[in-house]
Amino acid sequence: MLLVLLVITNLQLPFAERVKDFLSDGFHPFLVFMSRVENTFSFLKDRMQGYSGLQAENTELKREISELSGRVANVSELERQNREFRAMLDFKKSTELKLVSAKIIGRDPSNWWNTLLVDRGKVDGIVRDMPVLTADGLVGKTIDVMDNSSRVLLIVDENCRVSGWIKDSGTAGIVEGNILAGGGGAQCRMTFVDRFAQVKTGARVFTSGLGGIFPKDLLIGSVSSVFAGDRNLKNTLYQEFNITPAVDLARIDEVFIGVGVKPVERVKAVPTPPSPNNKPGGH
Amino acid sequence: MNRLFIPFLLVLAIILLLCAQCTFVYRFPVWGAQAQLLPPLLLYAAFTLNLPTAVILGLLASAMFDSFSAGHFGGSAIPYVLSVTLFSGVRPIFFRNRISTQFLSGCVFGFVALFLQWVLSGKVMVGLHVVLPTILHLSLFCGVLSVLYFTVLDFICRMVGVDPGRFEEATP
Repeated sequence: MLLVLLVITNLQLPFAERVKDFLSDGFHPFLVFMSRVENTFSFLKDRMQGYSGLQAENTELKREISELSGRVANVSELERQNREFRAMLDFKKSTELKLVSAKIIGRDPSNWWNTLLVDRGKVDGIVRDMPVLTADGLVGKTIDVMDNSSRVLLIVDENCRVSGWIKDSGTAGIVEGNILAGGGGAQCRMTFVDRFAQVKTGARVFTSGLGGIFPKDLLIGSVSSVFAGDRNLKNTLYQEFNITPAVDLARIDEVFIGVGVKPVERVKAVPTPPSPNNKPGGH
Repeated sequence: MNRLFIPFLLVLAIILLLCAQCTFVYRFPVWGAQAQLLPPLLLYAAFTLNLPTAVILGLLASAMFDSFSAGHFGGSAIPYVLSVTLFSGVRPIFFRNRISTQFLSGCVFGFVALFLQWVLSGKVMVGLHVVLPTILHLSLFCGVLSVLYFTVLDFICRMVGVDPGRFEEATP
């Protein structure tokens, strides 16, 4: 043994290197194999140990995702409301009408009426036949007023008739609802329009101010289809159009009730006659 | 207590369904029209309670419905009470617990109630050809709702030990 030990330790360097390399190469596949086995065991061990932790983490992440999704939806809804409120505020500032904001608290349960219930009533100064609108356009008018709530007849109801006119062509007519209303597809129609009037699809219809309920120049909607195109005008007294309301009546949550004209605007609109004491250079 | 359970349950259901109908049901139109939730419930009342109680429930439902609607007060009373009376009268010849009976009765009850509501709403100028498809669609939906109501309400009744099919035979 001592002899072998002495031989090995006294081998010449190049030869010793070759032996070392040979043995190294020979054992390489075993090392690789063992290394892989070790890795696999190590991975399995980690996995076994972390499984319960991962499950808990997964549950927590799912909860967080669900919470964040809820928040995102909330933020989207708040953004939408914010946009609406800003538009309403801008409209309230810019219009000459004195407006009272109202929240929609209910809809008509019947299919034969298109009405809304809003949270403003007699105590808020609301009376019958007041115009109801949003920043986008006309919604309807009040028909029943209780102490703390009012019922609003929508423009898509057949019983609601508004005197309207198309600014582009100067065409006048009566806008009324139709029975195909109720829900998202609600429409109006404009009747008693001069049969020779040239009206294009998309033309915007405004209130004419006649009738005493609706102020002038409130947007009602736009012409969606013209009946006269497929009818012989010689046999008709007037033509009719379908009108798509400017306001999405199925989606509104807040409206304005026009309770009158702003006092300041009224003063501007009706200048006071000059009195004898106020003549220029009178002093 | 047991005798009063079903009427009270139905009063509660009328209030809840009507509030739901006024607040969010319009967002889920059935074939383009607003679903009517009350007629199937009144059918349940007609098939479960005695005639006077069912009629009183019909009147209550009608009063509440009309107070939320723009139609004149009492406009729904005749449709509801007439339908309840009709179905309460023919109840002995029907097998109440069969799904087919519930569905078909719901459809017919819905049609009678909705058609009469339309006739009495003062909007007959619109034309039957426009209204009839809507009424038919809603009647079909009433049939579906009837099956649902019978299943759920019967289940609730049995949970508290009341057999809705035998309510009439209960000793006073």
